[in-house]
Amino acid sequence: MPPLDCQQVLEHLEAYVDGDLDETRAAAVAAHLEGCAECHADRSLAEDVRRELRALPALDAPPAVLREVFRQVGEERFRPPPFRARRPAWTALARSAVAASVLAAVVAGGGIFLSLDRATVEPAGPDLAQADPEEVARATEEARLAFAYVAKVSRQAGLEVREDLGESLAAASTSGLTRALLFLPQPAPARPEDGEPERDRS
Amino acid sequence: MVSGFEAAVEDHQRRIYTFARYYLGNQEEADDITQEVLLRLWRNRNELDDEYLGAWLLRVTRNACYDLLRRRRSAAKVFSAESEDEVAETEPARQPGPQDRAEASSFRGHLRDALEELGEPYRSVIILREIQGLKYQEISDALEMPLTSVRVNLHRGRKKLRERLREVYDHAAA
Repeated sequence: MPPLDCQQVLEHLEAYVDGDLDETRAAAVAAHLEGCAECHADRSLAEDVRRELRALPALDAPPAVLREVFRQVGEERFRPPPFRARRPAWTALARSAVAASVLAAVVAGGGIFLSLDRATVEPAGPDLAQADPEEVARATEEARLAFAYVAKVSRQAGLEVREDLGESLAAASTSGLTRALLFLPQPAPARPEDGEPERDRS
Repeated sequence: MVSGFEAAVEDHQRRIYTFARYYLGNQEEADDITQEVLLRLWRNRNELDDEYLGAWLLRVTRNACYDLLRRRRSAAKVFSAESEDEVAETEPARQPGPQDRAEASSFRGHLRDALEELGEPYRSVIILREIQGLKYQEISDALEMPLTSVRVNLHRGRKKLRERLREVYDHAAA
């Protein structure tokens, strides 16, 4: 390796002091330093800088700073979360409650309507044929109130509710599907003498 | 997730404060930065991993110090257009004691002054390596800098300090 000039040596002085130069370059720097008082002084300065930096003490944070941190953390730890953060959970809970109310009202109302259904649509049934007219009137009123409640909570839940809900549910209550959904027994099959051929159920 | 906040504070407060203190050269500002960083640790504790906590804290500290320094400088620029007195008001409140005055004229005092004048990333690398004794890999992780760059910036930063000190002593001798 050719001899280094002062500028090249000064460029590599810190790496030389740290022992990070390869052997060849380190030897070239050392050879230059032997014969150059000015670069030798810079080498001493480089060593002083490194030594003095390493002698600077690490410092602990003042206790008052840490106390203030723990005080603020203590406040935040016991502060309830902001309302906005809790809103999704609350909304979900409210929706569940409304949905449960709607379902309960539908089931209750549907049951009442089915009773009414049997009393009015299937008056030929053995039990309902002898229904007390006052009982039927009372059941009709209760069903009307139940469906009014269903409509109200459904609207509060943001659902669109048809004005003829009561009539629609009353009509649906006669179908086998509604009975199945409400865990009610299927209507008795039509009798052959009514003119409708019996289906093969096998 | 950080396993224990109190333990993490105990383990890392010295690194955070030492960095801020030497980076900013001002005790009150270092206090504020340390408090800010530790509160950020608390608020982010569920997203942080113990393994990367040291690097994260140093990165946050360094960024906070850097931002503060920029605000301080821009404020000084604004006020310098008005009057010299107001510039003095924007400078950090520092009442030098006897030790400060003795150190100011010493080699260590000149060195600390030179460190506070040093630009980035040299200042961060020198504080982390020479004052705090971190490994190159730890500095690389904290500053998100390749290992070779850590080494190069360390040497260049110290070279700048040496050149600045040489100027100071040459000027004093003249």
